[in-house]
Amino acid sequence: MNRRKPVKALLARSRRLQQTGRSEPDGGLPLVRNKPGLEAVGVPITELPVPEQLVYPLLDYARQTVQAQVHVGESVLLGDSIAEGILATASGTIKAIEHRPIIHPSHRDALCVVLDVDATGDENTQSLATSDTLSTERLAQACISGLGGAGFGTALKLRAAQNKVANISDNSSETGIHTLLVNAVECEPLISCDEALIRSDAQTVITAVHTMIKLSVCQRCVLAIEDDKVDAIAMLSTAIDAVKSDTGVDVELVKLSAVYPSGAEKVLVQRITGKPLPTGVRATELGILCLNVATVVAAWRAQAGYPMISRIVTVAGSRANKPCNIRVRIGTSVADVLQSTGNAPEADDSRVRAGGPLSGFDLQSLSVPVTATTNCIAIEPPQSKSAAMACIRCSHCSEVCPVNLVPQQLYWYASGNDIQQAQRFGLDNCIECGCCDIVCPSSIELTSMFRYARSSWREQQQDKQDADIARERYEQRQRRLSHREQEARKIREEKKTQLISSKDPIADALARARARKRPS
Amino acid sequence: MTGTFITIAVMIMSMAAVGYVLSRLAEPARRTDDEDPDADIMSANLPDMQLIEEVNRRLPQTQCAQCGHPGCRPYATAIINDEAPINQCPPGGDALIEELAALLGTDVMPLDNDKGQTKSAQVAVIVEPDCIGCALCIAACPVDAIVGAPRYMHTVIADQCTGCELCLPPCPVDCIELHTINTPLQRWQWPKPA
Repeated sequence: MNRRKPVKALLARSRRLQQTGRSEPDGGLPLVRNKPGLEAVGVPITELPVPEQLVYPLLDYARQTVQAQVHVGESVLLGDSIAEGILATASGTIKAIEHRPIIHPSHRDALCVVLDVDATGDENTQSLATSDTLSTERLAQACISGLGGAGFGTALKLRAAQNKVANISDNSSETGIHTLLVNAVECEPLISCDEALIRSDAQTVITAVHTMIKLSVCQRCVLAIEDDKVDAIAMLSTAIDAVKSDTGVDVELVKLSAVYPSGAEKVLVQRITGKPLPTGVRATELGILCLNVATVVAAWRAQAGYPMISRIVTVAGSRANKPCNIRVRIGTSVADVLQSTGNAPEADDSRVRAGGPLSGFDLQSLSVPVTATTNCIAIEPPQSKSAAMACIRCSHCSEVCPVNLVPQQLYWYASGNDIQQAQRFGLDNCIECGCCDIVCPSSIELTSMFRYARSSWREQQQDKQDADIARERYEQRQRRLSHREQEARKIREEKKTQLISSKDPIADALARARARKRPS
Repeated sequence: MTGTFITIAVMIMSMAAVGYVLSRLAEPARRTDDEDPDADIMSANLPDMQLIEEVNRRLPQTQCAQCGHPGCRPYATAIINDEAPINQCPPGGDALIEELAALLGTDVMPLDNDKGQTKSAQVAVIVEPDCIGCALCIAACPVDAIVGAPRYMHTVIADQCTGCELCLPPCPVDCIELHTINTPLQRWQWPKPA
């Protein structure tokens, strides 16, 4: 009954929806965007001066430790590799490799490479040769990773999308990327780094998108943006007409109603294709390559020889003095960003959040370095927490859930630690957007509970995997020991039968003893 | 009289038929979450081997022998053969007891404190300068997590170590230490809200 339709059918439906009007989301909240820090149209984004010290956590996108490829005292140049997937974003000397606080909800330290920047830190940032075409190798070389959400390596994502495609759909012969989905929808209403990028140079954005079309060999390209970014849309439309490409694939500009959280890949694919992503299936597995607009531009710059050394960060929030979008070298501390932009929190009770007021988390230390995924630093007043009351089953949370879950039921199971049951109700699909928290009349911390339940489930699965390995090793050892025991017994038996079968055992024993006796 | 009876009978039958049709129609919409995999195991009265397997799958596989059996599978076998209660596994703790009670349909009981206390995950570490290379710990390790050769220094493969402590008693120079595992960042868990 609920059989998944083939991707082509989904896309056809999405086209129909676009013709009849834009596809409306199932849930989400029409949050008002108070566009902070967006200067006049076409003004280039200011760049933060390179600080004296840069810090790089030795972690990959999944928070796994990576090995440092430099040692203390070594001089590095801009673009040199510090570890797998991490580049020096300025030239200087490695001062230390030590534990430092990082941007992570646990507020724990992690091993970091500390770089003292030379006076020549702001030299030419082109460290690679210019090439005529963009290649996956170049993406890896320039350390291009997602600038929108999880920070997955773009080269890896592209390869995954090219290799592992669409045997989920009924016609499994389909391979390759059929749709390139460029995500210009902001993660949160407060964040405006993507819009700032488009408004600073829309033509570059479209040129970059065409480069990515060529690289991904897709059949269709969708550029998704909220319909309230009027200036950006106008500039993009002009640029789409102006930039000609030989690929024969046009950039379709799809305007989505500004509903939070449309920027999340899962929700965006649902709104573009008209169908939700099946549980546990990534867009790449359906042949949809979803990339953030800033990532696409970074990839285009990599072709011209510029590695990814900086990103645009939105500094905003209701306690921010001068909200702005600013280009920051990766590795700059949050304190430096706030200080240089004149946004250092004045009131003691201000909270500095990484990643926006809704989906982010509070920072305990401001010395944490900006990473490729730090899209926003929000300065907010203290949380006015009203005590949670009992769930009255009003169903507001189910109405706003953008991925069609029943948060009240999930909460019921998760709070009772029945995470397995919560999983059956689709806990895995939760994108932790926080919409349910906003509408809950009983002020229940639903999202925190789901974050707990999801991480706890992951941990349980990991524990199970570890136990499976231990069991396998134990059983293998048992097999080996019993095999050895059997072998030993067999040899003993053979000897015994030999002895018994002997005609004159006493003479044989004497002969053996004589043979053993050493010649004196 | 007969007419009324027939009418009633026809009504009952038609209602039953309608009910049946409705139930069939509702079938595809029924959620799969009603199907509890554990319930199947209980009701199907599986042969013992399969039950042992089910119990063993839930045990923590530390192979620590704190339960008095020489490993997790022997303990699982003892539970199914009614030779051991379900509360003898300190690493599994109360969570395991609840799980086993649900699986086997028995009562939840407190952990047998004589067997030991539930500890946080730990890993054995050989103090390498002190190791004399006697190879006794290698023979004691139930999961082959120690590498080394006679008269050469040994070391523990931390990823494979279950923290069972079985290598401690055979060591003649007491050079094995147990360290509590500091959860790596990628395995960090959000705290449960109050």
